[in-house]
Amino acid sequence: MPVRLLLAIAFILLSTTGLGLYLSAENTGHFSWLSDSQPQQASTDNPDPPSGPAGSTSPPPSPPNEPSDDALGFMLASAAQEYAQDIRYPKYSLPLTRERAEGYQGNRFDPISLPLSGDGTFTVTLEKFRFVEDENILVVASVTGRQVISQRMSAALESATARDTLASSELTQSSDGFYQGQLTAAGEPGEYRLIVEATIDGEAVRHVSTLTIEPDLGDFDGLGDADIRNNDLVIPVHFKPKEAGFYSLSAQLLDNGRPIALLNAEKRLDSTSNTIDLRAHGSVMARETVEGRLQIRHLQIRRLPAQPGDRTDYGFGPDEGYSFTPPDLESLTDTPASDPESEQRAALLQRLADKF
Amino acid sequence: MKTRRGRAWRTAAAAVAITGGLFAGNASAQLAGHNVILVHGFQQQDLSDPPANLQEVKNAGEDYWRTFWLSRSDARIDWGSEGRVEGTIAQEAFQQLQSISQQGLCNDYCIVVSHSTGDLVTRYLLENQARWLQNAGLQPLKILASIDFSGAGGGTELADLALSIAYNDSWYNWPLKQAVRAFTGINPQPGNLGVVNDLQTNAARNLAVSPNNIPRLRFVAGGSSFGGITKPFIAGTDDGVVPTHSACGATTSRGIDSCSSGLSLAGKVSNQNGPSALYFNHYPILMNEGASHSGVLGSETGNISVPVVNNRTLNGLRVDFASRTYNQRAWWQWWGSGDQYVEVPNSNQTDMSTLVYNTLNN
Repeated sequence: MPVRLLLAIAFILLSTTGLGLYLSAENTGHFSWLSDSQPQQASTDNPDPPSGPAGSTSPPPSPPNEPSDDALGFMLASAAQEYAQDIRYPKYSLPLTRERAEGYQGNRFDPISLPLSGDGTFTVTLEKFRFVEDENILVVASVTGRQVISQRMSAALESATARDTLASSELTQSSDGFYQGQLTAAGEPGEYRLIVEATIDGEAVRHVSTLTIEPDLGDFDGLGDADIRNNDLVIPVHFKPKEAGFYSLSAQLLDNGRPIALLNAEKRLDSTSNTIDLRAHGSVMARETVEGRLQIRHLQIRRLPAQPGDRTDYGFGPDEGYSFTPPDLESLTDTPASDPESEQRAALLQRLADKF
Repeated sequence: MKTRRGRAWRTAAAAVAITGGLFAGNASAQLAGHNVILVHGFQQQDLSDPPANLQEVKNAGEDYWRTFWLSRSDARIDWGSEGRVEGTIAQEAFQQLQSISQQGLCNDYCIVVSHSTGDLVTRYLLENQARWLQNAGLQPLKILASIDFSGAGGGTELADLALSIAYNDSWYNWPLKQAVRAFTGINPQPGNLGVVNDLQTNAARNLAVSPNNIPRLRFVAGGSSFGGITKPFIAGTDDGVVPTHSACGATTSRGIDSCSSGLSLAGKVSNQNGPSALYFNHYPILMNEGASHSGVLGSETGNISVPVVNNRTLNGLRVDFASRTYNQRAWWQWWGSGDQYVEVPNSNQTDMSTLVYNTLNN
């Protein structure tokens, strides 16, 4: 029996010690050899460092000032410093990380979920938010949870203002449980409701989301020859507009699928002018090692509202984008851009931050 | 978003209040030496009782900011929530932009203070104001920065749900219906949602998101509104109306819990579900787990503000600024130093608006 007694005592001692350690505030729930990356203090990793692409150089450090002793003041001074770094990239050529590139692809539609009684959800997904006239709209719906769902599900497209039904379709259930169907965006430009109706637990439930139908703004007609001007890689994009107006073009510049920069340009277009130059500044290009062709993707052109109350109209380039062989990029330098208004803004912010 | 009382008395007082439209504050109403322009958020009552004219819109705008910022502002851009951003809201705003330009109020750079949907309206105006004003032969406004409280520029899931509720007359999910009614102040119908249409997450995130050079300083709340009934229907953490993904300026509507991946809304130093990326020139400054959606405008004290510290290096120096860092044990933790928290010292003795104003005008 003494052995059993000793074992029982040892068990009780070990259990008490273990419970104590478990309940200690020092127990973070992580094994130390797995938690090297766990933050030890508030100086955490920035989710998306604004200082640009990896390897880019920062401007020459300014002489260190006396640091702030005020928390909010420190944050404002920090923002001023970050802003001063950010404006070294001109707004027409901003550096992209993969994460930021995802957010700036334009024309995104994130799935919309409708909670059902209990823990169920009724979710509808589209490929995009804006569709050009006569384009097909692929609708995908799913229901999760313990609800009883009918075999049939339908989708209808209704004008947001007049409430006319533009198109309707039955959704068919695929083997993986999703319901799919297709509608056609054959309607006047404007805002529309996508109404997906299902019978759930014997009741008709409508999932409603918004999409837009855009006018045909014109035709993209490829790229011109890229060249170097000043400290920019200039990429001419041919677009023949159907109507004159003030247009804004945005696109992402990629190297083998890796995002480099978000490019933007604004220009008045008419029948005599059908090219918009996108420019990639030396501050995003100089440290790139480009071998072969570059890609331009996620082209989005907008006809900006001529006056307040007018609608912004949207057009899109080909899904596959364009690729081109860049000229020799050697002459591009990682020199900060110069925008007097932004520099003045940075100086004012800095002056404000200097108080702290 | 704020709720307000009836507007009958304001109509009677319209003639008296007319001068309050633009010069909303007094002569010393500046922030860090710059004129302040206010852009308010969604006003529920406009959906049930749309304003009859711009003067009623302005009167409601004046009411919106009365708690704190009204007397500290130089101009306002007021708009009716029954309208759409790319519709009557833009038209109403432009009338006021013209006046601000003619008065030269932004010749030496203004600071915009926005709340909630005012963030989305501001973003749209910043994209278009220069072109519109130049077309009218006027000088574009020079904006130094925008201070965005509980910014709804990324939309809110409540608006997504309001649309479905509007098309489901007899739908049975009662808690959801009550949450949407609390948010909109009405029984939603397909044609009466006004600016709530623009607040759908996909609609908001497809409107005027092109980068510009105006810094957006983000102030984020995480408290409860409407007795907490809206919280279960918003992705990630929220302030009862606006999700944190929107208030921080995250580039997607994926639900997140904090603006920082290493600091919670309450200031706890810990791994957090933070944004994978932020919109250009969006800088989260403070978070406050206890402040409600409207409380950030000056009506609530007792809540701790947390600096969104991602990097403690400033001008090449590593800084230990005077944020209060302390450790706290949970009730079930028997011993040890506890969790580490960061906060703005004494921030619970004031509200976020006063904190910002006093700091900048110190």
